[in-house]
Amino acid sequence: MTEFPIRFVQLCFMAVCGIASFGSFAVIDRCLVGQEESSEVNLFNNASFETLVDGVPRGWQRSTWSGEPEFGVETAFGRTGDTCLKISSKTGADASWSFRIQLKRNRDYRLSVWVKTENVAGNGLGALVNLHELQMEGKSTAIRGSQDWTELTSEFNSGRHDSLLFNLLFGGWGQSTGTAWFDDVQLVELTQPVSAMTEDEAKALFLTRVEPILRERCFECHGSEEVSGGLTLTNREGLFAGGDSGPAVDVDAPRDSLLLEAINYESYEMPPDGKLSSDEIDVLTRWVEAGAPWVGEGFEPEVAHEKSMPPEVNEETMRFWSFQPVTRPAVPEVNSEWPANAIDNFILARLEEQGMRPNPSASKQQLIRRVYYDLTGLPPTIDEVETFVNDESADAYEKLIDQLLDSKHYGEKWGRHWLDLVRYAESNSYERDDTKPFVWRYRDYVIQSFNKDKPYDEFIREQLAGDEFDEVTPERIIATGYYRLGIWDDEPVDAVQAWFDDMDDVLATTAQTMLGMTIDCARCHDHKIDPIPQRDYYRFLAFFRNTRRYGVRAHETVLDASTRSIASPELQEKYAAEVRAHRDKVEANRNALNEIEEIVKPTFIPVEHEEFNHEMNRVPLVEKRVESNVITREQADAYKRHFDEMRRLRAQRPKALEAALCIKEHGPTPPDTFVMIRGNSHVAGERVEPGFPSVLSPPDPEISPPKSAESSGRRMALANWIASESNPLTARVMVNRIWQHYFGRGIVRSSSDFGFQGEPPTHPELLDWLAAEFVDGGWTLKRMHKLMLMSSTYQMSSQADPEQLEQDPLNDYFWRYNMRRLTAEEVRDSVLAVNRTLNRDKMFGHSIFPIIPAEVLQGQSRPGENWGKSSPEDITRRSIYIHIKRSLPVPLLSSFDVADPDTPCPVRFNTVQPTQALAMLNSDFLNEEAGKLAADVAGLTDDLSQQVEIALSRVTQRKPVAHEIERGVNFVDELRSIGANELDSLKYFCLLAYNLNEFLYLD
Amino acid sequence: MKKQANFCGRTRREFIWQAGGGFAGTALAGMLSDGFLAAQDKTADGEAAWDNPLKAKSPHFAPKAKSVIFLFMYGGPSHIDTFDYKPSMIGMDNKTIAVKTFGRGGHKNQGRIVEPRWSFKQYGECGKWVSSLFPNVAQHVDDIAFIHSMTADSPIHGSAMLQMNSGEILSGSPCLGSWLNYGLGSENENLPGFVVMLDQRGGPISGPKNWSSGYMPATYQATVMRSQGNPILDLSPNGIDKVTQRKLLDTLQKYNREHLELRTDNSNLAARISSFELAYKMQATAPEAVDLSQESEATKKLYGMEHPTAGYFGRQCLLARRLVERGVRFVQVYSGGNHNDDNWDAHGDLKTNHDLHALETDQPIAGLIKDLKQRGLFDETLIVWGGEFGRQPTAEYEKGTGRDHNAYGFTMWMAGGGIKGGVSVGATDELGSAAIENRFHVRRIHATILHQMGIDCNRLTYFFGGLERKLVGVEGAKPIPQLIG
Repeated sequence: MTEFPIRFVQLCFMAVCGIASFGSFAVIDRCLVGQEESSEVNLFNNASFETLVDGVPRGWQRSTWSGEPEFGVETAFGRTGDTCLKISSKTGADASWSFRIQLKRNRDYRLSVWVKTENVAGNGLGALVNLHELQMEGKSTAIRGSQDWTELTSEFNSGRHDSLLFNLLFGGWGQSTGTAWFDDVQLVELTQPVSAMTEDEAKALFLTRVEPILRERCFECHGSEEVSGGLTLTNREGLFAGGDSGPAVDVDAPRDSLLLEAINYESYEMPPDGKLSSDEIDVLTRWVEAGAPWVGEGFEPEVAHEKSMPPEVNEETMRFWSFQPVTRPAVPEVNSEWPANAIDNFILARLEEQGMRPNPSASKQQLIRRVYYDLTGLPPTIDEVETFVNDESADAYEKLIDQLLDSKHYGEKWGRHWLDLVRYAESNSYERDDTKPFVWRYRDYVIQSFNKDKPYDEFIREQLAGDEFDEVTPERIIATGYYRLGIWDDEPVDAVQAWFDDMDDVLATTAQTMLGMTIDCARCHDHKIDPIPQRDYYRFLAFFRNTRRYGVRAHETVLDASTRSIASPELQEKYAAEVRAHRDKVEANRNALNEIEEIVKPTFIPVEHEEFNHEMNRVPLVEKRVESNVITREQADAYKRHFDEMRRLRAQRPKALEAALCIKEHGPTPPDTFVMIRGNSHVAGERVEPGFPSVLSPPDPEISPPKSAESSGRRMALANWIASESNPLTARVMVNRIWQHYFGRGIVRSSSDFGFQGEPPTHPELLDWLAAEFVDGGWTLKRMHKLMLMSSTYQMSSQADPEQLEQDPLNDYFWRYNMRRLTAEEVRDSVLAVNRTLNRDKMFGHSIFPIIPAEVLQGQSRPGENWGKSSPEDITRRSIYIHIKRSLPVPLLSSFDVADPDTPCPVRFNTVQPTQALAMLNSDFLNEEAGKLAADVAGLTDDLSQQVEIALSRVTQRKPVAHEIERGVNFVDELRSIGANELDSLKYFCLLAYNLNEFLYLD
Repeated sequence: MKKQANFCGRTRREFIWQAGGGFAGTALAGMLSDGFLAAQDKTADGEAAWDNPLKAKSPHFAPKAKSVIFLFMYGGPSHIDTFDYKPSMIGMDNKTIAVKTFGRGGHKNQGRIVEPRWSFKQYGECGKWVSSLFPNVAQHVDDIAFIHSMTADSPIHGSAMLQMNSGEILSGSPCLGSWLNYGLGSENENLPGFVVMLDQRGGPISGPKNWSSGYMPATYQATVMRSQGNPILDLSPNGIDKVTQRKLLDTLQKYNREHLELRTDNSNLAARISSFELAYKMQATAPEAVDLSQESEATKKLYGMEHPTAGYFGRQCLLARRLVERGVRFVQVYSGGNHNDDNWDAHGDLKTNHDLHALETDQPIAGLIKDLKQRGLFDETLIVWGGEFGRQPTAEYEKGTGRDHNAYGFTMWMAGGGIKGGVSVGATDELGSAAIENRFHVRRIHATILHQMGIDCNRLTYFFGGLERKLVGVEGAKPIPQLIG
């Protein structure tokens, strides 16, 4: 009779034994243990440790995971024979005797060992066995206390591992004290070889059993109409040729075939709508093991599958415009007075080609409002407007630009654009949505970098590899917080996949933001649109391969993996000394307290033990013992003294040092990177080395580990390539972004996608000219700002010209300036600026918490959690300092299309919706601020028409005309005539003023 | 069916939404297919009308249902104690068995059986076994289709909630309600198209992430509606009487129209003018929609509103009916909020936990079904019941009856909206530890909901980050055929 695999046999036996057949699980006290054992072979030769080499059993090693263990080899204490292994610790340890066992992949094994313990205690699990790589999956139960020889077993599946570190573990997920002895290890493979069928038997099996199963359960997706995963199962060739993940049947090792893994739900889970019955699985297993014989020709697909091939990297695709080096185009000649600089030549030349003309200039009033918002995100005051309007000097505008570029608020405006791109948020999302430690320093770094006009190439290098510079400064460490801004699932279903998901997020952000490439689309397969092979994705990923995950679970693990001190070495040393001194004092005090507690505690009645747990009761409980002569007066006084001292010490811990959120790697040597087949984090394919996208014909990365030896140096190689003058994309992408924020859209509209499916540039020469100018000018942004702002193109009016509107409704040729609405932050900041309560001066530091209505907080699972309360001084700070909590967007900002922080946001939405109107009319915030505006205005003058005039000029930054004032006065008068009081009626007018389209839109 | 026709953005869309500046607001709102330039048409009085991004759009095919009411049993109700009858477990209490489970306590290979704590009875012509937790819902089994073989990718609340609501375990994608409003719009522009009602004990884990529009514009995110007090944030005028507010709006509009005169080409300005009128109308229509004084005592009783425990959820269910009656596309009502026993997350005392939450919801849900039927709304309203996952057959701790999470197999049910009644599909093993027959991933529920609403989930795409995104992911999904009448 053909032997069935053990697993299957177990199920049959269960039925025979009269236990309800529970499908895929087995009742523990199996009835067949006896039968099994005879055929089991212990894979350990030296199972009882009797043969020693240099005093230890061959191959066994001492592994200390933490604490202070003592390892021993006892030679007269074995359970069988003389020898056994021992681990003990007085102060606590997590340690093991370990052995690297060689295994076959995807097999079931049972591991057992006998353990004896003495006084095992502590916060570790105790004495147990586990398999290091499998962690919780392969561990046995643990023994604590004192127990005579007991057998511990662990059953596990080797999965993709061909070796595992087997630990005789003492401690485990914590530290243990006491002693444990281990003896008689046994490792058995639970699956047994199956004797081969004859060919005739196998063919008969195919016809009667196999083919119906394939037809019934597999062909729908791997047959005639569909070829999922590139795998067809309708003929034997398809089976052996396989799909994207390789052959379905492995000729040399049929038992390791992917098909069997998949139907056993070990890697893939096929069929996905329900596992085959164990009988069906057995049929397919036997058939595959017999070499998968096929009878007949197979089944031809009824409909040929139309395969659309992704573009290859070849000469043609490499010629795509954005992959070409930037060459500085000649500036077109135009015969006109209009151009102020070369930008205008490019724009005008195209307009003239189309028979169009540029709009006239905007008024000075419009212009100053435009520039103020564009450069600082804030409105000018009416005085600033007037000074500019009245400044007749030729360089009035240039002076204004220079002044605003020097403003500290410039970084607050332009830093925000960058924060959108790197999906900056200050919490992790998911259940806890905890706040990221020190994340705000990254925000401040960005603002300061813009204000300092840090060259863009430097800005990129610092964020990608600040820790790999020769000179590592606090600023550069903070910059690498870049890697830690994304979402983080602290409780991932699959830890391996979670790492890949995190890094995919980093890769997508880096490639889209800095290169305008959607390399992330090639994670599971070759890019469908762009010439980016899947291999290139993993070569790019290799630059990040050595990154430690953001954290493991608890906040402490985040501090460990993603933060470091930015204090000077001297300060760090001083701090360490303070911590030691403090700890010594605490210990001395504790000992003094213990001494007395040990005397009094035995005299407690039961309820006093309970009371003693509460600190406030301790001194009185001790005091009571003076009367009953258990302790002396002096002892009681000493107790109180130490008790108070303890409290003081606790309140006066050494002040923690400044730290930053940052990247950390696992050390100088990264693990291998593999192409993960179909993006499956568990199915490794070809091994790859770090490399840049091949379609760009890039140089090989030059990798040298940094001095610190804490990382691989790979990220610096990546940064150097991205930030190099010869990179065809970096400069183009960045100048296009600057352009976008001034002109309403990029020259390439899809500003984060310069690939095949992106929009082509409307002005390719201009784009290249700007890119060349950017690089030649040393990558400084302020120079580019000035260039664009000084152009006549920027200074055009937004006024429609009916004829040109008809010809070019989307303003493809830039015949006018595109009007824009204020951004969410600008809306809130302007509301505060207009009533003069905006706190512009306080910059940087911890984030602020504007008031979120209780009804919105009620949507949190713990209403109000992690949403703080800011001081009146803080609550009026600029919006860029508002805490960004992923699961709790601020309603006003969110309704005005603030960037969703989970994904990079190159262009904000610009919606118009009734919720905005409701917020602007009815929210507490707007009503309060309108009240403040009214009070402010009323404090300046008693004259209503002047009050109206001031209110209007505050929101529009221009002098209102007579009928506008009159309309407002009439409104207020009307309200007063129906009973409204003076301040309320003025407040309603101010509320109205805040709702003017002119307030919200820039000409 | 070629389910990969749009795979990874093979169809190239226009990028007008990325144009930013002048036109983007209304352009993205119409989402291109409805004729971008048509939105620029002028009305008789010379003003561009507000192009409502939520205006009703044509479905892919004739829909069975017009609206969805998703009764979200947050925390994960135990399937084997409610609708997934496991007679073979009787007498197995406290037996330790080998069974693979995965919950918040990690992977385990064995556990101590906790026998279902409630007795089961057969109901209806279909003879469905239902536990004593749901005696009232049980009266309607002939109208309900049970899916007993649900699977999800995560047994952890945070990511599992995201998946049930948005299809993805990674944070940042739009929710089912957003997709429906994106695909179909709303039939009543005076009410939001996607409404969420929360438990009085708080929101679910991850709060607003569960009704976020993710990478879609905020137009498609949910509006949280309260069944008592001010129903919508900022809906009621802030201490301003009606007359004053009307005067304020009239005067405001004069200023804004004047501002528009020189800028008539900018449709956003006109749209904003209209949006104030719409907001003004909403101030009247939304309170009317939640005004239950128009309902008869008999109706309120039907929903259990007089019951001290069931009253709150009952009120919300009645409100849900009133909303779908008024054309709201997607209403989600949460049973359970906050953490642990404030929702179905029975880690400690299974009996106390489920007795409470079932009592809170049984009569209201039964009332909802009955009321929809008597008003002829049942066939056009799809009810979906379920949590983010189910629970394990074994105990979580050494002592007690608490069950850990189970995403390997659980039960959801659907009713109305063209779903076949009296049907049960799929099965878990004898313990309910895992789905073994006709396994249906969460995506299949999403596909089925969209299908009943007239949408092919594989054709409803939204371009973002270089990809044509879908609610059901790049691989696509099919509706559950056994459920479709």
